[in-house]
Amino acid sequence: MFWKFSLFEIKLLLKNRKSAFIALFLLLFFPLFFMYYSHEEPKDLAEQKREETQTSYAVFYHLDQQRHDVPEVAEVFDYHSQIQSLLGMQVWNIGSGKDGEQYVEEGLEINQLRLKVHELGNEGIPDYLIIPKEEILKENALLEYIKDNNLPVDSESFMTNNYFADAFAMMSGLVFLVIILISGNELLVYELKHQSVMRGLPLAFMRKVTGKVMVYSIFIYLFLLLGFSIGSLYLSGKMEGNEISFPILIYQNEAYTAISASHYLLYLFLGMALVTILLLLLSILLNMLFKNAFANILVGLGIYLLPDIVMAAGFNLSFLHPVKFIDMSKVLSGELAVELGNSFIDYWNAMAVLGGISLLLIGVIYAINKFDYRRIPKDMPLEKTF
Amino acid sequence: MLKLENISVSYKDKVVLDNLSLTAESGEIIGLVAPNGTGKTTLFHVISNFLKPNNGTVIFHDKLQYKTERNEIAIHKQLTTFPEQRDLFEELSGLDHMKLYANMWKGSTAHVQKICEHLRMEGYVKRKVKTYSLGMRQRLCFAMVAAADTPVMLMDELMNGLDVENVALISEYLIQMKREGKLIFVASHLLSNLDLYADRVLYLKGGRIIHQQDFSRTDEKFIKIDLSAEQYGALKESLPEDHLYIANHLCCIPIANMDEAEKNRWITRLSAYEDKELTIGPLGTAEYYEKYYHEDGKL
Repeated sequence: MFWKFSLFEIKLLLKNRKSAFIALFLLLFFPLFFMYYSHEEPKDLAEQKREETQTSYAVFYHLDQQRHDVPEVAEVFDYHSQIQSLLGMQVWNIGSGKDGEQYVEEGLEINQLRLKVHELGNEGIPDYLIIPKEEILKENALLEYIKDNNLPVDSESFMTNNYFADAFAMMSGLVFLVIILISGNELLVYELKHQSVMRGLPLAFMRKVTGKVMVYSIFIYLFLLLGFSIGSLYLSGKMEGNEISFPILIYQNEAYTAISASHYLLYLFLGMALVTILLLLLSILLNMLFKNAFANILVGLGIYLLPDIVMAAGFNLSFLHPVKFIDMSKVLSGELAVELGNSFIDYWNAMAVLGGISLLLIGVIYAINKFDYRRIPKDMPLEKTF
Repeated sequence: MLKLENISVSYKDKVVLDNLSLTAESGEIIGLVAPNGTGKTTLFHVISNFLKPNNGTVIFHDKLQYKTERNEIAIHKQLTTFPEQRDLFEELSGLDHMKLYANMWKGSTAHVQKICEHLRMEGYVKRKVKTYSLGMRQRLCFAMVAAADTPVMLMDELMNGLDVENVALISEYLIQMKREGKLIFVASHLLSNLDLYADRVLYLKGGRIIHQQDFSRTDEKFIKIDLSAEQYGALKESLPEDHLYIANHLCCIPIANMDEAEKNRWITRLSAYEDKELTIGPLGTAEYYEKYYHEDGKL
């Protein structure tokens, strides 16, 4: 019965125009995103390094003015002189020198020096010229990975990885939440419009819920994967580098680590699978509580925006942080940990919390349904809804 | 097979079902008759547990009650309710609907084609429901219940929107299902149609069953004639005490306790009303309906 019911749900899903629009959106998002961004002229590594050298000169100007009066500034100046020389060498090695290995060694050295400057409190450097510690650690993790895996530093694959990360940064979080809330806003509610057809089916409520969540999550996930595959195909045709062994940075165990793009995509898609299931379970619960398709979207969005509203009011309530874990891209990049000032937020912790919330949602849905059977009518008869 | 014990349903001051009890066995078609809003649908909802009554119990096979979800599923595996036309899925075909019911109850769709043929639906069953007429939709609703093929069937407003030919078609199908041992409840406003297939008809009023018309009983025969109030007034004194004058027009004289001579005497006497049709037989559903719902002007 479970499979027959699930097949019927698939049939309804395929006949629903809303599902067609969602499928179309998921199919087109990645190709269009990659199409748009691949037309932008990216800065090559040599150009980036030249810009960095120019900024470094500006730092010298400020340090030079104070180094004779403040001994700490003099120390920073010394470190910065070394950084400047190494930056010059990097520009040479990435350009005419064509020595990627040396470029990486110099980069790692620069990062160590920059961290020492941080330890000295960036004395004499104006705030707007300070390179944040997170950026230094990220750069360091990336160079370590390149060194360990003996990768070329100027490959276009770095660019492809950036496209992946940027595309998911846009898709995950609010956009993905809205897609699932719209997709699942009538998971149970549609049965109210067809009550006399659906209410008497000989199937346990939890099995019905399982069937619905399964069908809708597979549907959303399938089109997400398809859309991404089409986008990747487009990108591989457009750009030379599309090797998924190249690194992307993630935040893990309170540090930045570089992992291969394939590893990153695996993490991300696993995370989005869990987020999809969680949000569909939330939709089921909201359907049960409000019996209204619009309420599902409004309440779902309200919950997601609650931590932002609370933070805007000047409070940072850590028990609300898990709500934001559904933005897998931000969790992986460490952006969420920085944004919420909570170093605990990394991929596996977020996955564990989201898994826990999913189990909790299943428990609440089960309990509400059980409670309905135990209720005893008093003044009014009790009507079965689903 | 099915037992209702002291079922009461009330909303604040409005009593819909009042301590109603009923027993029904398989191989029976039970008609349910009452004006709109008097509890027929509520009774069906209670039987199918769509509505938990304020009081009372529904018992299947002497033991199964709606106490847990597991029990509910066990009962629902043996029971289908007649879907409402407006609840059909407009974008799906009739066949999709029938397959849903066949799959969910029988676990197979092998018999669906036969039902389509029997109900003459082959011409449209593969089309989307949104293209169906009222009668086609009603036939589809019946076909869905037939596809589920459960031992108990609750059919509310079964004949709505059907033409004479389809009423006959479905009546014939109902009789066939009764022969197969189904217990079928039919709520219908097509009163004379109930006489064709129902084994008994229950009349609901004030939340109670006020009369149970049993078609297997042959001892409740009457001489029936339409009389105006004046004609009846002139005749009244001589009529037997247990006669009925239904809805100010139908005079019914019971003949169960009369000998042949007395019967003939009444037939001869009433034959004087030449423009009136005189019939002998039990009271039909329509006549009882008039007796209980028209007589006091309460519809």
